[in-house]
This record gives sequence, structure tokens and C-alpha cells, in this order.
Amino acid sequence: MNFTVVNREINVGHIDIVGVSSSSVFLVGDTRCIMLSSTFDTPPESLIIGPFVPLAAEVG
Amino acid sequence: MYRRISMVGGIYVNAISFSSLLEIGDSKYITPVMQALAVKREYPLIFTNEGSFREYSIFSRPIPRLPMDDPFAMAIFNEKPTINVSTIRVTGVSSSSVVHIGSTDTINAEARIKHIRQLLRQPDDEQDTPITEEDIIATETQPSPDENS
Repeated sequence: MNFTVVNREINVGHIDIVGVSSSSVFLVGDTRCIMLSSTFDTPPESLIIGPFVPLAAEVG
Repeated sequence: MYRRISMVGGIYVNAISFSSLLEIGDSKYITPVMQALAVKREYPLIFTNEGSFREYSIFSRPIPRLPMDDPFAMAIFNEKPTINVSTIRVTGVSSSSVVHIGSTDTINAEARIKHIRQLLRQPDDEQDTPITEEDIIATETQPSPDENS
């Protein structure tokens, strides 16, 4: 497979970004390969109702 | 490989946090990794030695990757040698993210976040009784976290 890219002139005025978050990229330039992965876990079991108990501490 | 030059008149970044990066100039590899236990508590009682990433499978399970097994020929023609941006304003860069002025080769970023919320009582419980110290501090140990999540 042959893939041809022609980059013509690019002029941008103002860029306003509120947030770049959780494995994201804002790039002004060229690149070859970008791999971004983000896992986000909020299952029902993560809602604990009752008296406060500390989380299990790191062992060792 | 021939790369263009990034021309930026001015940049303002308010905050960078949690394994994030503001890079001005070219780079080859960028590999930020971030793991977080995001704990929200109705009563703000926090101990410094709390939490273990090994207790939760989200921090160890493999992330599927797209196989790049189809080789292809890529030709790039840059008609202008520059990418021009006059001004940039970014309020926040967080959690294994990258703001990059200039060219790069490979970016491989990873963020893993586990949310845990701890409430003292059900939302529909009797709200008139004040919260006592017994409500906040428990004596029994916490059941082990569910690994099926």
C-alpha cells in the first residue's frame, strides 16, 4: 500500500484549551507514531457506604 | 525524516501535573505513565500510607494494542517548512498528557485511574441525627476489594 501526504501551508491564530487530561496529546509539529491508553474504573463496588475504613496499605 | 519547524509566538500553560509534560523542541520518545487511586470521602479523613495498586486489577490488566502488521510505504511532502501558530493558552495538563511544540517520533502514554467513593450513610437515610465519631471510625476491617470489577 502506498500512502502519500501533502502538507500545505498552515497558519493558526489563537488556540485556547481548557484541559489536556488522562493520556492525551496536544501537538504542534510532526510525529510518526502515537499510542495513548487510559483506563478508568468506577464500578458499583467502589461506592462504600458505612463507617470509615482505611484502604489496604502497600505491603513490604 | 524531514520534519517541519513549529513557530509559536507565545504560549501560556497554567498547570502541569501527574506525569504530564510540556516539551518545547524536538523529541524522540515520550512515554509517560500514571496510576492513581482517586478517593472521595464524605468525611475528609486521609492516612498517608493508604492504598495499594496491587489490590485492584485495573492497574495490572494488559491494555490491548492494535497490531501494526500491515507494512505500507508512506511519502510526505512538506510544501512549507513551518507550522505557524500565533498564541496558545492551556489551562491544565494532567494525568500522563503531553503538550508538545516541535516534532517527535513516538509518544506512548498510559493513565490508569481507580475511583473509590466512601459515604457515611445512604442518601435516603435519616438526615436529622448528627454524625458521631462512631459513624466515622469503624473497628472492623474492610472486606477485600472485589477483583471482578
